[in-house]
Amino acid sequence: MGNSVELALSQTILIKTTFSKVSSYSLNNQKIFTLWMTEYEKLLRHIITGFEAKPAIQDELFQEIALNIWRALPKFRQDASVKTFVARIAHNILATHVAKAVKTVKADHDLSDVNQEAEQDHIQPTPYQSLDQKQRQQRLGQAIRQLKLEQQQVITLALEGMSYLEISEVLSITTNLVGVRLQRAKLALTSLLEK
Amino acid sequence: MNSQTPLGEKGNTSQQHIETEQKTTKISNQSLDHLGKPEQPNEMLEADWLAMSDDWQSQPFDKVDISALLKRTKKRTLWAKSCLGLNIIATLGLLISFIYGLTKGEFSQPMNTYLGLGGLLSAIFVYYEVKIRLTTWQQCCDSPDKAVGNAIAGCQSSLKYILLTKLSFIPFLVLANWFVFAMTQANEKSFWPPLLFINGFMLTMYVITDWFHRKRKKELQQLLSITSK
Repeated sequence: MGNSVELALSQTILIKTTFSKVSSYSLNNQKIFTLWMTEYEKLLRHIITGFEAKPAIQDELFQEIALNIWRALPKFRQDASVKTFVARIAHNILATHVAKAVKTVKADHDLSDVNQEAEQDHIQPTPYQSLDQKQRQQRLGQAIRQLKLEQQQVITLALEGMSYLEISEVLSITTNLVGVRLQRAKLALTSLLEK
Repeated sequence: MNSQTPLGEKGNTSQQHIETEQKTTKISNQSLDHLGKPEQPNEMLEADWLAMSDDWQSQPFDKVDISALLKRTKKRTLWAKSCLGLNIIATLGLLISFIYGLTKGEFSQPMNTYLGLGGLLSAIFVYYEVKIRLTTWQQCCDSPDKAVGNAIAGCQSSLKYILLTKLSFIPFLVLANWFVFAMTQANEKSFWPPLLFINGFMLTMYVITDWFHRKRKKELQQLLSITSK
């Protein structure tokens, strides 16, 4: 009789401990998720802009990225950088998005309708510099979305100030390849902005 | 390790990188000459890059309510897991009822046949669903270079699942019609209203499945055309 009471008691304690561990793990994850999303919201929003023009789809992509970050939280290794981890998940989603929606994305790529009047009014050293900041941001985003996927990937990360090493970690490529892709991306971007 | 900044304007820039930059600038200027534009000095391009970086980083964005986002995210995860869980429970329920019906002899023959075949088909569907969901959840941390390949694999899995669903309509249609007919005969009721309902319902489901089938096929073609380029 005494043994069965002890057994039941120890089982209850075990269940309670497991439950408390699970709920504290869940709470920890919620805190980490909130912290990460607050810290890297800007980075994510900017990266998304480089791949998608429509605000409604941008929001959907942001939600999709958030969902994948939440799911991937348990896989995060403490020795890795959170920034590269988050950016990697974002790029994973965005690469798939671009691949699936090439036609719709390309349809948004007509740079000719971006404030042509403003461009024509100024004959400055470069057309890009002659625009005001909002126009430049708009034009830069559209030019980036017109690049090849691999170029979009490196340029969006580079513009965020990431190092070659960080970009290579996000994209799982060598730093040399980052250099090569980035040079090509810069050339292509410059050429698009000169048009 | 190479840790210079990607834009090459600040920090410890290697000699090799400077040479590449210079080559790039030359190529860039050549391409501008080709377009009939004046040659730009290096500083101009560098200034453009700095301006671009500044513009990019100062882009405005609508701040999201993070606690609402957390709630939504948790809800979506829970919903996806619940759907899968419910399917598994329903399949187990069908199979257990079938075994119970067979051993205890509680149900009629049409009911037993319906439960048996329904349970079998449901088990096949759940197997595919678990496989697709697990693969999708495992791929979220893969390299972005694999994203297109993963999307193709995901699309192919979905297509198999959809095809299976479409093919299963034939046995399900026969089974459902026979079940309704047998049950109404046993209860001496008119079979037309339930028959019309069940066939109308299955037709609607087929049309929806077909719409998804076309959508996924289009996506797959799109993805394959990218990899073939």
